[in-house]
Parts: sequence; C-alpha cells; structure tokens
Amino acid sequence: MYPPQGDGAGRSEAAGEAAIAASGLSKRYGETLAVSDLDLTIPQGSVYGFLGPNGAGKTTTIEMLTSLLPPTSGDASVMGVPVSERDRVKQHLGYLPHEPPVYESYTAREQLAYAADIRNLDISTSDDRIDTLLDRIDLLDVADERIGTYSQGMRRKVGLVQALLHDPDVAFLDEPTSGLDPRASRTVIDLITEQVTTGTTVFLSSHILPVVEELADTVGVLYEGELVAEDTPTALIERTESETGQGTLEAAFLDITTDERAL
Amino acid sequence: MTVDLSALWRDLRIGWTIAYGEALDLWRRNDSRRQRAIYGFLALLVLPAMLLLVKQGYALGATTADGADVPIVATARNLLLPGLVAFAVLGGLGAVQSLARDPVQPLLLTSAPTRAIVVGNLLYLLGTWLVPMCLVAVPLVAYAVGAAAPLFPVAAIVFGIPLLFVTLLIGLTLAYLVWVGIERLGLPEYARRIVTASVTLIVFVLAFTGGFLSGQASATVDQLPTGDPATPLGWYADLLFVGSPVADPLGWQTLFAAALVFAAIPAIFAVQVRIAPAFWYATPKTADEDDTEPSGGRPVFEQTPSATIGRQDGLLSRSATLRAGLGYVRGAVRRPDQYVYLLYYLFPVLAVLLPIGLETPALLGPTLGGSLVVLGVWLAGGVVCLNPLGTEGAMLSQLVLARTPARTFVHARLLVGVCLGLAVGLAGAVLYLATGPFITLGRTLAVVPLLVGVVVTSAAFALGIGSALPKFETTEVFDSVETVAPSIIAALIHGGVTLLATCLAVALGALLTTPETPLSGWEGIAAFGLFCVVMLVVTDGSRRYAVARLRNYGRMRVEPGGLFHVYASLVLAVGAVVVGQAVGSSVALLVGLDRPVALLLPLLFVAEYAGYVLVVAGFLYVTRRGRAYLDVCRPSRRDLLLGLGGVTVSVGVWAVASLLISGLGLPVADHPLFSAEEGDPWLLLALVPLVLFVNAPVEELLYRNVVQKYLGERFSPTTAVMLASALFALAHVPAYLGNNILATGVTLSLLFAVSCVWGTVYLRTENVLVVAGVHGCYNVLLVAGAYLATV
Repeated sequence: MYPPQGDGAGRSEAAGEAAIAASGLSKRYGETLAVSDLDLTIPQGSVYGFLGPNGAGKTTTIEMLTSLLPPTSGDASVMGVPVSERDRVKQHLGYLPHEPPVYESYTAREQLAYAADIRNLDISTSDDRIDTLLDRIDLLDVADERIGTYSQGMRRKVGLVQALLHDPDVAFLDEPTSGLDPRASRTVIDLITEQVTTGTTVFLSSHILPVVEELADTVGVLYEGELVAEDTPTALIERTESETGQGTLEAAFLDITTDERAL
Repeated sequence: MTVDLSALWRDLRIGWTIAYGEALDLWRRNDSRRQRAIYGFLALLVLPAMLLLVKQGYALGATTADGADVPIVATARNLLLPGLVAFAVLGGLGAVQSLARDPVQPLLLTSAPTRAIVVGNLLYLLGTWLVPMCLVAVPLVAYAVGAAAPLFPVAAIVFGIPLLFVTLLIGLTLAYLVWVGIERLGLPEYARRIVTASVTLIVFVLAFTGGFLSGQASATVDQLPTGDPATPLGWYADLLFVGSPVADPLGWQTLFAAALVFAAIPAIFAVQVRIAPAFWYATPKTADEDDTEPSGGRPVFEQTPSATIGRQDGLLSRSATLRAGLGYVRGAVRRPDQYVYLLYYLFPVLAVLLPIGLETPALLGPTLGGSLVVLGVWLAGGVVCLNPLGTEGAMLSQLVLARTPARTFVHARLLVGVCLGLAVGLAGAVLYLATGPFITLGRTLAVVPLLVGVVVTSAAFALGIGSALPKFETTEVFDSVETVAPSIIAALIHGGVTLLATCLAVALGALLTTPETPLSGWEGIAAFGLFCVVMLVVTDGSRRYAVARLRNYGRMRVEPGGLFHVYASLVLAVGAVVVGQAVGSSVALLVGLDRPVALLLPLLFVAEYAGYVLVVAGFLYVTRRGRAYLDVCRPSRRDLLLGLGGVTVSVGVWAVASLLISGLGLPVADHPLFSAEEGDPWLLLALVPLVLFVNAPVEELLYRNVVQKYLGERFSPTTAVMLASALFALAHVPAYLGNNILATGVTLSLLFAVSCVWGTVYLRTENVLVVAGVHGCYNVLLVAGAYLATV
C-alpha cells in the first residue's frame, strides 16, 4: 500500500491524469481570505511558474497542494490522488519550503541520508544518488561539514536536493534560487531542467522573474488570493508589450499585479 | 481487517529513524563549552548524593534480603494509578508540540507515513523520559545487588517500560484531543494562547490538590493505603517487584492487568494515529512562514529600546538608562505573551500555598506574604534579566555597534528588574508583617534591608548567569506560546541560588535579633559582613560580566576589566574548594568512611586535589586558554638557583614569624592535619610524598599558574602576586575554622607572606614546576619539624 518511493511507479499508474489539479480551492484565516476559489490544471512533465507579490497566498496554496494545510473549501489532487489522502499523496511529492527543513547540527550528507531513510529509499542506490546530486550542485567538498556552518544559499541547495532525492512525480519548490549567486542559480536551474526531463512535474514559486521565464512552460499570477492571469511566459509578455510597450516578464508582472481599483 | 506486517515493520523502522534523528540533533546542539562545563560542575555536585543513594540502596538490600515487614507491594498497587495519571498529564502535555518544534517538520509531514511519524514522536518522548530514569535505576540495581535478587531490576525494567509507554501514549492522545478541542473553539489568537498556557497550570493545581487531599485522607485512616486497589490496573504493580525479596506470588488479577496493558498499547496507538494528524494539520503552525501574516517567532519590540532614545523631555532626556528601561517596560507591556514562561514560577509557590491553605487556612496570610517575597526575588531576575542577550533578538547586533555604551542597556534591565522585584517583594513583606508571627521592630529593621539587597543581587545575578548561558532560539512555552524563554539551566541556577540567599537573609536577620542568639557580638558582625560582601561581589561581578558579554558579543574572549578578574579568581578559588569537597566526599562514600585512616587519608587528600585540577581544566577549557597557558618546562640552572633562594627565604619568613609570634605571645591556629595526627607520628611521615607531589603542585597550578597569571593579565605583577596570595590565604580559612579569630588571623598572615615569596619565584621563573618544588620543600620541612617535635 505504500511502496518504496522513487521507482517511478506512481507515474505510470496515474498516466493521463493531470499532475496537479485544483478546483475552487480556498483558504480563510479568520477574516482574511488568503486564497480564493483557485482552479489549476497542470499537465505531467511540465514546469508551472507561480508568481505573485508578497502576501498573495503563494505559500498557502503550496501548503494546501502538499497536504500540509487543509483547505477551507474546494478540492485538489496530485497525480490523481486527492490531497486529503495524505499518506498516498505524500508518495508523489517532493517539497522545498521557504525555509529548508534541515537539522543544522547535521552534515549535508547526514541530512540527505536521513531524508532517504524516512522515505524508505533503498540505501545503496540512494547513497550513490546523494553523492551524484551533491557533486552536481558543488557541495561534495563540504558534504561532511555541519549545515549550521553553511551560507543561506548552500542550505537552499541542500533543501532542493532533499526535495528531488527520491525522484518525485511532482516537486513543489518555493523560491529555489533565492539567496544564490548567479553561478549557483545556473546550477540549480540546470538541475531542475534535468529533473523535468525524467518526467517530474515542477511547481515553482519565485520572485526571480528571469528564472521563471527560463524554466516555466506556464505562468500563473496570484494576486490577493486570486489567480489573475495564466498563460505561457511568451504570451504574457506579448500581451503586456502591446499595452505598455515593454517586453519583459517583469513588466507583465507589474502590470498584472497593480491594483486596478487604486488607479 | 488484515495487518500488513511489512508496512508495520517499515513504519517502525522509519519511526526509529525519526526519533534517533531528533535525539542526535538535540545532543549535538548542546555543545557549547560553557554549557558543558556548567553541566559537568552540576554533575559533580550531585555525585555525592547519588553515591549516597547507591550505598543506601545496597545497605537496604542487604538488610531486607529475607523480606521486609512493610507492605510495599500493596501500597504500590494503590499508588500506581494516581502516579500514572500525573505522569501521563506531565508527559503528554509536554510532548504535544514536539513535532511543531522539529525543524524538519515540513519534510516529515510531506514524506513519512503518518504512522511512522507517530512512532517517531513516541519513541523520542519515551527516550527523553527513560534517560533521567536511568538515574533511578542505579540505586535500584544497588538494592538488587545488596539483596542478591538479580531478577528484580530486570523485571522492573522489562515490565516498567511498557507501563511507561502506555502511560505516555494515553497522555499524548488525551493532550491531542484537548488541544484540537481548544483549536476548534475558534478563540482569538491571544485568548487561545492564554487558555492553552493555563491548561498545564490548572492541571497541575488539580493534580497537586487531589494528591494532597488523598494523601491526607489516607493518612487519617491508615498510614499507608494497603487494601485491594480500586482499579484492576493497580495489580500491575506486582510485576514491578518480581524477583525482589518483597514480591508476592502473582495472582490472576496481575495477569489480567498485564494483559490489559499489553492490549492497550496497539489499541491506543491506533487511536493516536487517527487523532494526531488532526492536531498536526489543525494548528496554524506554518503561519509564521506564511507570507500572508506578519512574521512572528522572535519577540519583536514594538518600540525598540534604542528607538526611544532622545525623544523624551525632562528626566528621560537626560538618562539613556531610564529611556532604555522604559523601552523594556513597553516591550513587556505590549507583548505580555512573551513572558508566559513566568507562570512556571507559580508552580513552587502554589505547591507551598495549596497544602497550607487546605490544612490551616489561618496561616494563609503569612505564607502568601512569604511566597510573594520569594516571588519578588525570583521575578527581579526572571522578567527582563535572565536572558539579556537572547531577548534582544535582531536588535543585538545593533546594540553591540551602538554608540550608547553596553552598560546602559544592562543597567536598564537591572533597574527594571529591581523595581519589579521590590514591588512584589515588599508587598509580600507588608502582608507578612500585617499577619505573620515572630515580628519585632528590630527583626523587621534587620531582615527587610537584607531582602532588598537580595532582590538587587537576584536581578544582577540573573544578568550574569543569563549572559553566560544565553538562549537565542524560540521555544514553545506551555506548548502554546512561542517565545525566547531563558535557558532552563540558567533559570534553575538563578532560582536555586536566590532562594538560598533569601533564606539565608531571613535566617541571618532573625539570628542577629534574637535575644538568645548563639553568636557573640563580633561573630554576628562577621557573619553579617560576610553575607553583605558575598552579595556585593555577586552583584557587581555579575553586572560587570553582563556588560562585558554584551560589549564583546561575537568575540571569542570576554574582557570584563580589572575588578572582574578579581571576582573570577575568587570564583575559581571557591569553586576549587567546592569541587574538591564534592570529589572528596564521592570517594569517601565509595570506599566507606570505616576504612583505616592510613588508607583513607591519602585517598581523600588526592581526591580533593583532583577536584582542584578539574577546576583548572574547566577554566582553561571554557576560556579557550588551553594547555598552552600552563608554564611547565624543564627548569634551567637559573630556575634551580631561584628555587633554592625561594626555599631559603620562605623558611626564613617562617622562622622570623615564629620568633615574632612567640615574642609577642600571639596565639597560632594549628592545621588540622598536624593536630589530628599527634597520636600517630608515622602518619606525618606518610604525608611527605602527598605534600610534595600532590598538594604543592596542584595548589601552585591553581594559585600561581592560573589565578596569579590571570590577574597579571590586568594588574601589575606585584598586585597580581599580592591578590593571588590573599586568595591563597583566604582559601585556607575552612581548614582553621574553630580556632579563635585572632589565631586564625595570625596564621593566615604568615601564609600570605610565604605565598608572596612563592608568587615572586613564579614571576621570575615563569615555571610552575620550580615554584611547586619550593612550596613542596617548605611543606616537607614543616611536616618534618612537626614530626621531630612529636617524636
């Protein structure tokens, strides 16, 4: 009922299903409506860029989709499994939250071995994969130093590897490149691209627009809890260009997320 | 329903990984040098008591090997259930938030099966209880050895652990239910926090009152409840005594109780697997990380202390300390929930008040007054002083860099703490004076000022210990409010020391003003003076240390200035005596005091000085001075000549002093080693190697290589020699207690003079071996003289 993860079994099982599907998803904190009536359909093997200003409800959405937060109303499913069936939905997930969930007193290698253990991965193959991934993101030299001594960016990279370690069907990445220098960002972007070619669907939330522009097949813009735009990056840029004359995703973002009532 | 065994095995394995992972992280996080040294020091102090328990356990076992006349098992049957209920409440309430505190919580919740997380949580909880219980197991094993009952500890552990497990399981499950219930009430954030914080307090009060009343009831009926237990579970107690001399043969009730416990484990476990997620996912624990809400976590002063600077008129515009103090008060008033941990201070107060209030309501007034005094003393330190670095949060780096001197902020905290402590404490004193017994005007005039002094000392000492053991991470206090509470060890040390000081102040005040006082006039003044000096040193030393820690925050070394070096040296000297006594008494308890003196004396001698060496090692370790600080090298020819001169001069000093003393007819205090062994001169000779190879090197290591050298970092060489020698002389006071004051003074003066000679030798040679040789030779000559005199 709960097979070892990482063998890609889930993907074939859910063939034809959308990787992520949500309908009427809403979350209310007391008086505040954090996310309102969100509908999403994200096909398998694609990268979905999730944009929005601070406080738009991006993290709340991700937490609902990863089963961490029960929605106030609406449903969502990942690889055809409703998020309310937590133990089943977990098998398809990889999640990098805003603050990477790591023990500061562990070394990167220990932390990743721990993550592999709690996911019940096969030890011999996961050890190889840990080494490969650590090498891939240039952390192999410091793999035996405590994470507490790492920079913010290095921690983020450990968190990313931890989320991708079991070759998940769907990876939710909250700001994977924040705090990284350009070279490290490039490494991370390449790693994500590689992961997508193996069939993983990536749900990417970021403020760093060039990263989204490069990676995403589709971009969704969340503003005050509502999905106000959803299209390919090129289409969004073209639309803005015809209105404002500026052809960047940044211009599109600023245009879409300007409060029309305030104008 | 079929049970998938391979899935169960997998979840148990993952659960073990989760528990082990969290325990390893806990172990590794507590690795600061200061923490380790303080834990080691505390462990050494507890060691003698532990050994005494072991010894008593063994003796009890030996005497009761053939059975005891006390109905222990019958009593245990009756007390088992109340004990377990209290334990379930404690354990369950304490653990309910452990997942939320775990930094890898989002990883666990999105990767591990629910059942595995429940297993992991439970195993970790069980581990945190079993580790301290190992301490209980040690005297138990000693008892079993004494009673020659090898099966007993095995049975107690084998049957005890499932009982413990099921109790924690029930406690945790109930706690989840209560908490989910509170969450579902839909209260506003503040109300929810206060309700959840008070639950523990209310449960404690109920349990304590209930326990007291039932104890009272059973005491009036019979000394011990020995009838059949009210619930079938009580019979489980029989299993805990299997193999012991007091064991009864097992009956069917016991087997039934065991079956009950073992059947309950999977059943309650299954319930918890259902309930726990409702709690994990119901709590808005991710709200802090959610960008829809302002981030919480660290307490944020709405108005930072430094932000208030220069904005007020009148007195406030002139005193930065007052402004900073006002900032701390504002921070406390606007975010009172960050001080929820103060409720813990109510536990001991209630534990005193409740029984007295129930037993003799007439005494409630004075008891409340007395409790308020203690509470005032505690709060003086507990509110703003016990974690001066940690509670600044992100402001800390600003304060370190600010132009306003560090002492302003420390003094502001001191001021706020003292004002609050005095307000509460004096209210308590007034209440006591209005209602309590034993009051005279003189006694009031003696005790109240002493207590005011204790309040000030409490605030300052809290600043010191809080700066030594700062805590920057947030914790869940009462499992509901996340705040930067002070370190538990710092709070315990502060609470213990200030409670002791309060009791001493009251006792001293009462003793001085009682007509039938056993103290003579001079002794009274000396005791009073000593108390005041100790308070003063603690206050000023702690204050200086706190200022220095804030000023030098982020640097490896703290440089607190000249006077602090004196205080620190004093602490070293006192610490050496205390640790020496602790090690000595541990050894004495181990070998037993009934051994021949020829064996005991050298052993205790060496043990005591081993304690000195531990203090030296701790000092070098904590201050990162390391082994390189020790001046040990092969003596040169010049060193040897200087050493020879040193011996000559010190013997000369002794001769001149002896002549002076006999000429003036002054009394001399005898060292107990010399006076006690008069009957056995051979023992004096046996002392020679001890004095030469243990006493002299160790004392020189401490007083010259550490104290004098450390003082020399701040003072001129002459001052350092004098100060170290003064400490050396004072450290000998306990050895001469019982002699009259004048005789002790004369002897200490001689010690001081000789010690100055040795200090100079050390200064010139910078080699502790040489001065140890000089000290050793001098002592040997004295011992030889004493031997010749007795023969």
